Amino acid sequence: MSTVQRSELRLGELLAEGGEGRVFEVLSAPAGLGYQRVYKELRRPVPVPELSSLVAFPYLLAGRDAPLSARVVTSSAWPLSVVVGHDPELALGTVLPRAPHEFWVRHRDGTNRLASLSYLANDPDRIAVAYGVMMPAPGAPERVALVYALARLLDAWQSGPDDSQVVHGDLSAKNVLWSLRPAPAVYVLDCDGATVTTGGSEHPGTGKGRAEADERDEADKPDDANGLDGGDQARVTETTAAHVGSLNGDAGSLNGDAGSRNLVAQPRAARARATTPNWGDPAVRPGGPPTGASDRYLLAIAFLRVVGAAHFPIQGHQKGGQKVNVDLELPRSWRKLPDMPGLWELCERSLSLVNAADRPTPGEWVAHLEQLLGVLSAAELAASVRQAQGDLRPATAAANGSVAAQELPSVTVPDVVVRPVLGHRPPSTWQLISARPPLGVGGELFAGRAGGRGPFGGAGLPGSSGLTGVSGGIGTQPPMTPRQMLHHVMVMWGAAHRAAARWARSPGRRAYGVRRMAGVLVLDVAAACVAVFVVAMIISPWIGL
Amino acid sequence: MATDHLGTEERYAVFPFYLCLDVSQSMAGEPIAEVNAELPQIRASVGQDPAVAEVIRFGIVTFSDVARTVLPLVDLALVEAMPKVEVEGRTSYAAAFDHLRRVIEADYYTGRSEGERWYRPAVLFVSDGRPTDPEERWLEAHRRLTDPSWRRHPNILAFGFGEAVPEILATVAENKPNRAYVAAEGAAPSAVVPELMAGLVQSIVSSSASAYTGTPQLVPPQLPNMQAIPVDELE
Repeated sequence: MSTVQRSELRLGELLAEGGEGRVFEVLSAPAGLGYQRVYKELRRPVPVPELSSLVAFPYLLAGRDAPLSARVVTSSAWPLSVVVGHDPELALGTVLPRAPHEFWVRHRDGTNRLASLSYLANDPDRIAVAYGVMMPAPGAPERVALVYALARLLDAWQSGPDDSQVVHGDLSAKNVLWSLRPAPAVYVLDCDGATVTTGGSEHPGTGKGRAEADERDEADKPDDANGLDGGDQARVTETTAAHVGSLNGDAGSLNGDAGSRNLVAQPRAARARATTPNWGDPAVRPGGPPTGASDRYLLAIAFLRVVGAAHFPIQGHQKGGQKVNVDLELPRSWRKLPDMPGLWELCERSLSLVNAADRPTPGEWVAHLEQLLGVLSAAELAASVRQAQGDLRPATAAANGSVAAQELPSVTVPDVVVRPVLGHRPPSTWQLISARPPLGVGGELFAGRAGGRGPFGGAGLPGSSGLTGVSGGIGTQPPMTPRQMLHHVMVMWGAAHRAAARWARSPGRRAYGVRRMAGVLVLDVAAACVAVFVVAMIISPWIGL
Repeated sequence: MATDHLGTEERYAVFPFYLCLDVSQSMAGEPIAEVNAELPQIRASVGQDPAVAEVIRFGIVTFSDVARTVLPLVDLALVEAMPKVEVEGRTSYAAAFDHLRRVIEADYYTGRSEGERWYRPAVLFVSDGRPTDPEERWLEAHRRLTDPSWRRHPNILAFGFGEAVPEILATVAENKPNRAYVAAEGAAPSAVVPELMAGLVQSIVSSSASAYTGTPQLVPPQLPNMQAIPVDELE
C-alpha cells in the first residue's frame, strides 16, 4: 500500500518529538499495513515521490533478488506507506514499523532504552558500571557479527536495480540499534529521511536542496577552550533538520509521478539532511547532501567503534587536515589469527578523504567480515546473521579465502593509517558515585572523581565489586574499623599484583609492568621479613631462645 | 601533513554544565522541595541516555551566604543517586561567582590530567531573589568569572523566579540575548521549578547533540512559563 490518507489512521500517544517531526503510535490503520506501526509526521511536508520511492524500494529490489529485499525489511525501520492529507501531492509523513522488542536494553534501574550503538562504542566496563548492561569484550566475534549485519544491509541498499541505491545519510549511534539475541542483528532507524538515488547522481554537487542546518565545519579545538565561542547568538539547533531543503530540492521530484517506474527514470541526488555530530562524513561539506560514499565511511566508523569498543573521534582530526593514525586495540587472542592486511587497508580506504567517492563497497566489507568471522571460529554467527536477515543461502564470497585472491595490489592511503594493537587493555577505574545529603559547612561530598583509566585501577573492576557501587567521599566516611582496613589493604595488594602482571604481559607496557612487578615483589619480600620477624619475636620465648 | 595518533583512550570532548542553585531562605518550602524532586530527573534524562552522558559532565553548586559544591563535576551515568539540597542563609552572588571560578579552574585541570578535552563550560544560574551582598562586590566577582582573558570563562544562562530582578539576571548573563529568563509574573514556584528543570534537561540534551561536532552550541531551553529577558544591543 503505497499511500494512505491521514484520516485513515487512528493515532495513539505521542512517542517522540524531534527536529524532523513527531512520532505517534498507530492504534489502527487500513488492513495490509500490519501491526506495531508508528506514524512519523514531518514538520514540513515533502513531495510524495520523495517518500514513495523509498516505500517502493524493497519491492523493486525483490524483483531482482528476494533475499536482498528481505535484508532491508528485517534490518531497518523501512517506510511502509506514505501518508497524505488533502493535497495528494504532498506527503505529511510515513507509516513505519516499530523497533522490535529485542532492540531494547533494560538498565539496572528497570528502565528500558533503545539499544543504540552508543552502548557498543564505549568501554564495556563503563557501560556495566553505569547501566548494569553487560557488553561483549572488545574484539569479540559478536561485535564483528553486528558490523557484518550492518554491512549486509548497506550492501542491499547499494544494490538497487538500474544503479539506484539508498543513501541513508545519518547512520549514527542513535539510529543504529543492535541485538545479540536470538542472533546478532541491527535495526536502522530514521529511514524515512533516506533517499533513493538513481544512476549518475552519486556525486551530487549541485548544492540544491541544501539543509539549512548550519553545521559549522571547523576543526575540533576544544582543548584551547575555544570550542564555544560564547556565540552572541546562541542558536536553537535541531539535531536532525532533514527535509528542510527538500521542498526547494531537485526539480525532478516535484514533477515526478508516484509510480515506481518514473522514479527510477529520474536521476536524483540524496536529500540533504543534518547528520548526527561525530557520526558524519567529513568529506561532505556542511549542509551538503550525503552520498552512498558517506554511508560507506560510516560503516568503517562503526567497525572501528563497535569492534574496538571506543569513541575514536576521528572526524575532528580529519577536519583539521591532519593525517590520522588509528590504533585499534584488540585482544591478545587475535595474535593467533592470520595476518589480515586486507581488512586494515579496507578500513583505511573507507575512512580516507582523499578519494572519497571510491570508498570500498559494502560488498567488500561483507566479504572481509565474513572471512574475519571465519578465522575467529565464529562462522556460525555469520550464518545466524544471514538467517535473521532472511537469507538461508551459504556464505557468498569469503569463507574459502577468495577475499585474499580478490585483493588488489595494496593501495596506499595517504591520510589514514589503521593499525591493530594487540594486548590487554589496562584495567579501568569506573566507579559509581553515591550522593548523600549535605553535611555541615565545608562538607564537600565527593572526594573522588570517576572515570577514565588510570594506574590505580583493578580495585574491584572489572568484574567484582564495581557493580555494587563504591562510595566517594573520603571526607565524610566514618573511620574504618581495623577489619575494614585489613580488607582494604588486601584488596589493594591484590589489585597491585594483578595490574603489574597484566602490564607485564601486555606488549606496549611490558617494561613499565616489569618495573612495577619488581617494585611489588620488593614490597612483598619486605612484608614477609617483617611478618617472619614478628612471628619469631612472638614464638621465641616459647621455644626457649 | 601533521600526524595525529588516535587510540582507545581518546574520547569525545565533553561539555561541562554547572547548575548553580540559589539555596537562600527564600527558597524554603515548596521551591526547594520541587528542586529536590526534579534533580533525579536530570540524572535519568542525561545520565541514563548513553549518547548524552558520554559528552556531558554535570556538577551542582549551591550558594547562600557561602557557596559549596554539592555534586562535583561528574559523568552522570556513574552517579547512583543525586544529592539533596537544603536551604541555608542569604543570597550572596559573589560567593557563587568566586566559587564557580575556582571550581571550573580546578575541574579543568583535573579533567585534563585524565585526558579529557573540554568545550567551554556552561553555568545554569538559578535564583529566586536579589543578591544580598553589596553590588560592587558581586559585580567584581562576576567580572572575574566572565573575564574574557581567562580562557575558561563560562557561558552563563540565568533563570529567575520569585523576587528575582530581570535586570540583575541580564547582567549575570552578560547581557547576551536568549541567555536570561524570568518567570511570568504571578507564576507559582511550584509550577516554574519543574518546568525550569525540564527546560534545563532539554537544553543540556540539545547542547550535547551539538557537542559532538567540535563546534557545540549552548542551546537555550524553551520555557512556556518564562520569558527571555530582552537585552539592549550594545553600541
